[in-house]
Amino acid sequence: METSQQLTDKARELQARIAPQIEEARKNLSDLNTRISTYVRQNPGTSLLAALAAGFLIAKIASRRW
Amino acid sequence: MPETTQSTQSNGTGNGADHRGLGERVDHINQSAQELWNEAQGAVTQLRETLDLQGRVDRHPYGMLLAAAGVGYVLGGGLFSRFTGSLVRLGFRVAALPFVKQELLNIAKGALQNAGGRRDAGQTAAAPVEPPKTV
Repeated sequence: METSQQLTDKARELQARIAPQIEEARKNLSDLNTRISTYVRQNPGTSLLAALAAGFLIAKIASRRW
Repeated sequence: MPETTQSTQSNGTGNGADHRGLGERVDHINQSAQELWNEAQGAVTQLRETLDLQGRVDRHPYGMLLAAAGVGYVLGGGLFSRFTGSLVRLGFRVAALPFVKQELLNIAKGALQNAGGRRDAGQTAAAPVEPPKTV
């Protein structure tokens, strides 16, 4: 019984410690998503050209013989 | 002297006509260039309206970025590379995973049913047979 109680306490403590970090990470990701979407919508040409160039570079690197 | 005057006048008239001709040509070229510029602008505007890039980016920003990266990848010659082959193989495996899982589950279920059936049959065979009652 004591061991089970200890385990429960530890799990609660761990959850209390991790939950704020998860919430913060979620907020950060949401913020990043909003910023990226806004930038892409405001500068579609630049974003699409950058993506095109990135794809081109990845293809060049991937098709290189090692 | 009259000859000189006449020749001067004729020269002057010729130069004026040349100038006028040149000016008209320049005007014509200018007009053509202006028309060409207007047509090019119209074509670009029409293309932009047809593609509706702004609208598409507004609706699906990440999808458009991925599409642009894909176009860049193809243009970069990465389509027939080993990396693409690996990606395609990985994609097929991931796509086939649910079917394989279902098949494995069916096989396991069948095996369990067979094992259960055999166990029942074994128990029935091992059960003592009652001797026929004699009257």
